[in-house]
Amino acid sequence: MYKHKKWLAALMAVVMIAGLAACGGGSSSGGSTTPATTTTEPAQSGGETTTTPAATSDLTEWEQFANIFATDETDEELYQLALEQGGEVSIYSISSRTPKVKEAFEAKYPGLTCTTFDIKTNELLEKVTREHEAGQTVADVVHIKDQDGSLFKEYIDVPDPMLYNYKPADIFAHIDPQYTATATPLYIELTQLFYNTEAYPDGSPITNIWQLTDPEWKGKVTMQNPLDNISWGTWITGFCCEEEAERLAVAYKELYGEDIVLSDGCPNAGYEFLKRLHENDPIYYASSDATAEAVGTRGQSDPPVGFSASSKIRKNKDNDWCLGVVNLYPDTGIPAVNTLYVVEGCAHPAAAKLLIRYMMGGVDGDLGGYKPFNTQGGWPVRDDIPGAEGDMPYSEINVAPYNVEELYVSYNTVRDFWQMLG
Amino acid sequence: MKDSEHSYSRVRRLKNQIKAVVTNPYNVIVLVAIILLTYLIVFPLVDMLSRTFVLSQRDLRAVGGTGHVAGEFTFYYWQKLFASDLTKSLLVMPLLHSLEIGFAVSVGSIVLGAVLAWLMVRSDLPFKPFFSLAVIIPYMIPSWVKSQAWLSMFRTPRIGGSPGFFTALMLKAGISNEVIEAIIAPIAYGPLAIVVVLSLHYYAYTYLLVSAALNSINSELEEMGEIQGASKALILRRITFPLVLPAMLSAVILTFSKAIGTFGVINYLGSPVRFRTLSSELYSNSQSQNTQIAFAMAILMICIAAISVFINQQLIGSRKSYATIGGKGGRSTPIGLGVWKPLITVILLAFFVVAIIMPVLILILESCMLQQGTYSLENFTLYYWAGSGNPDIMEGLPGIFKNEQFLLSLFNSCRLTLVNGVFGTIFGQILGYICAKGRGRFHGKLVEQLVFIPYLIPSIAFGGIYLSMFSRPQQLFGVTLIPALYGTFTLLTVTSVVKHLPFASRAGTSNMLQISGELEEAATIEGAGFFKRFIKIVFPLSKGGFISGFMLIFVSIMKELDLIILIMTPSTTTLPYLAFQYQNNNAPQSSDCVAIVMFSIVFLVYALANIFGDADLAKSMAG
Repeated sequence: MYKHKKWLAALMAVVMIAGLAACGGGSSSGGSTTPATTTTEPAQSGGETTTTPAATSDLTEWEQFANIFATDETDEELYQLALEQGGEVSIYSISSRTPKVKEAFEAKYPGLTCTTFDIKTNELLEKVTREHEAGQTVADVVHIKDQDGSLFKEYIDVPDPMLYNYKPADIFAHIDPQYTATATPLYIELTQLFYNTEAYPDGSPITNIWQLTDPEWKGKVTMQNPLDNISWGTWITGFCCEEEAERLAVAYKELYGEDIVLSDGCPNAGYEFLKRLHENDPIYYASSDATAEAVGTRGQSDPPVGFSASSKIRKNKDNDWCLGVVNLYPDTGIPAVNTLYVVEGCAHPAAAKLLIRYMMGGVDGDLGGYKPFNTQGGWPVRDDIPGAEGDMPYSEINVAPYNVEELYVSYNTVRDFWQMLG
Repeated sequence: MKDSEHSYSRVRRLKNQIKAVVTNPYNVIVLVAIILLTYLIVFPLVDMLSRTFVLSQRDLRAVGGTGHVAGEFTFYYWQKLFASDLTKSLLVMPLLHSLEIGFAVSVGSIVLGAVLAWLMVRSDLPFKPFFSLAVIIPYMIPSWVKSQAWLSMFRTPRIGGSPGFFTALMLKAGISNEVIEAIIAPIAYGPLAIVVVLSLHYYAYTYLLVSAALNSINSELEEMGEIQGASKALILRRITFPLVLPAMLSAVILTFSKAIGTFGVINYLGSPVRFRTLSSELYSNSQSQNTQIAFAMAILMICIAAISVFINQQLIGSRKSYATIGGKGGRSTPIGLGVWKPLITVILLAFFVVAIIMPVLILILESCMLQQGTYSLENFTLYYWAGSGNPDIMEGLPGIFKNEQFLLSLFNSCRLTLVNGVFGTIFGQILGYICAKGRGRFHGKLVEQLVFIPYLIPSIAFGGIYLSMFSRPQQLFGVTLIPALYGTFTLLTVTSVVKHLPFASRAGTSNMLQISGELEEAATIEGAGFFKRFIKIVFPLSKGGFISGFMLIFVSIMKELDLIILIMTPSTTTLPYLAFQYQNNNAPQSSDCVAIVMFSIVFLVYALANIFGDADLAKSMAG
């Protein structure tokens, strides 16, 4: 018995020592991954730029060092500068495809190393904010979606910005200005209505969005609860914006032949649509995957239709589903734009800018940085990059007008409106 | 002369009294514990609370803009919660649902866990080694796997997708959709489904805690009852049950709080019928970046948990004794199940097949299917385990064994869980000791309450606050107490240990209550100091609680992602992060593979702990 106890004690000791050693090892290696934020060399390149919005003296030390407002730097200049700044760049992304960007980027620009970290929207924002507040800037680039315009309103368009839009003029020349007004866009995703092509071989049973509020489709529309996250919350907000509400009113008249009558508490046709949609008992699912699965599974006699992220169309192949996309009239709601930012105080701004340019498709015809994102159900923002195979061209899809200012102001009101519906 | 002598002795007495208090290691430990807990737990809580009274930039648009500035003091959030048009749908209904789920799950898992524990420890059930290993598996299986399994049995045609197993049978029998919907839907989604699935998950708390308590009961106590002519039921009710009461109540607190705090299962099985609880509202608000509302809800949940801890303190009282580990040798004679033995064995076997082996098999099977949901031999593949990057599958991501990150994550996960398991359990036992010895006194109650708070602080908030706290060196009067820890493994450890203290300390408390004070008193008479007593007597005797506490922490941290993702850096990623990455990449199969790896590690450790624990116990009894 005595012997055995000793054995156990020895094992315990080993575990604890290993634990301690692990602790120690972690701290030293962890420490070295945190870049020094104060490698602020005098900004030699500051004077070269022509398009700084303010006089150089108004800029912060970091803004000068990063030359963040420059729009005309070339890939080659940035590459050299990036090498001088340590040859590293780090990106936090909501997409898990960044490791592929990393590989291509490092192959194209020898000497530069790229670190990627994927993380969900909320955590990403929390992490970057907390790190920034603590002066521990790890990420140089952030890839996220500015759903309701709050990133622009709260992190960029403020006296002490945490994020910056980098606006390369040569690339921006190929992008619709409505997407570049408040952000540096990467690609566009949509929330689309899907139907089951096996059950409806002649095409979608629904074309006009108001049909979803008909008794025929009561309890037969799947979606995620708009209260569940900011993407869905912003998506319903899009319907209540002024111009979109007018479109909805017109669509209503075209379907039923009469003008829409607004209920109490509904300021416009957008709110009315949400109210009726809610009253028609949509089926909520916990994820976009699940809503798509409910619609696209084969062998159903009376399948529902459902809203889901446009990228779920790819699951037709992966999971043998039969999803069909509806080009809804008047439109499928607002787009979700993936955006890129440079983080204030980061140590590698030149590499950050170079990486952003590369991800956006660059200017030399090498699409290696954009390719991982150019898949079915995602559309390039640039007019000179062809979309993914199998997708309807973006210009032919009915999409709601995207007005960041209005979305931002209305978001809370519309979310509370939906919450009140129960 | 006499007078001065008198005052001299009075001063000396006071001095001696102070010296006795200060030099008593127990008091010092209590003091240190309270200071540390205040710093590590009260600080984040106050930070959260104060944020609910400060208007955020985000909500400037909601309060009307003019005349308001971000950062000003406001009742906006509490008012929105308690006195607005939204109160009913945002607070009242979800709260009622939460309580409903909390109570039902507590009852379900306590009954299930306690019965299983009694059968495994006290009865003469056959195949015990197998059963006692199997019984913990459900807790290791991710709860969403169980939700999925539930839906794959009961899913009705109304909500789309492939019908569940039972529904398909009914459809084949020619029963109409409406009838099926009326019969199956209440089982398939909503409160009943949630309670069953959660109970099958959380009975592990009760099982681990109660079986540790039962293990320490000397069967002479029960035999005494038998000699007096008491029936088996009476012995169970009047002798065994009261002795394991602290363990059961600890389990109730853990289960109840976890059930009202959990989100995944409720969202999965509640969504189709719009069943929302306070935790779903909290999560939704947090995901919609209504951080302050989410914090306010978290604080409400902490209050509910505090009430449950308070009730527990009242029930445990300060005078009753639960000591089962006394100066006399322990002996454990199994109780015969008699004629019930075959029946109980069959029921248990069936239970394990349905609740344990099936989900595991489904998980393994799914990890080997090229296309999800297609059951054929051509569809069988090991790509997701060991494929090396085919651009047509998973967007070119390699299988887990070929993924460079896998080894790193595996290493980090093992390191994190082991270090945390060991340290967390040790701290937990010490805190449990304080709670047990200070039972009924202020400091004991205070520690018991404090330790519980992190349990219900939402992980993302907790991680965020710790990130801010430890990103800069912590200084006091210009002296650096703690260096900047950001990006270090130490910070991951500190965060996880504190967040999981409730597990460890609950296991510690219920365990320590059983250790009779006479053992320590005897040692004191022999001249043993506090530390010697603790190390030589209390610690060895608390081995059962130590192992159950260790397992609770170990499993929980193995699965943890939300808490540590904020603190993680690319070099400190763990297995759940890898699983998330695969899931994010439309590759649930590889995500399943990672889950299986995590599950295997946990199982291995549990088996080892079980073997070591049992072997030691058996030997000590023989000696």
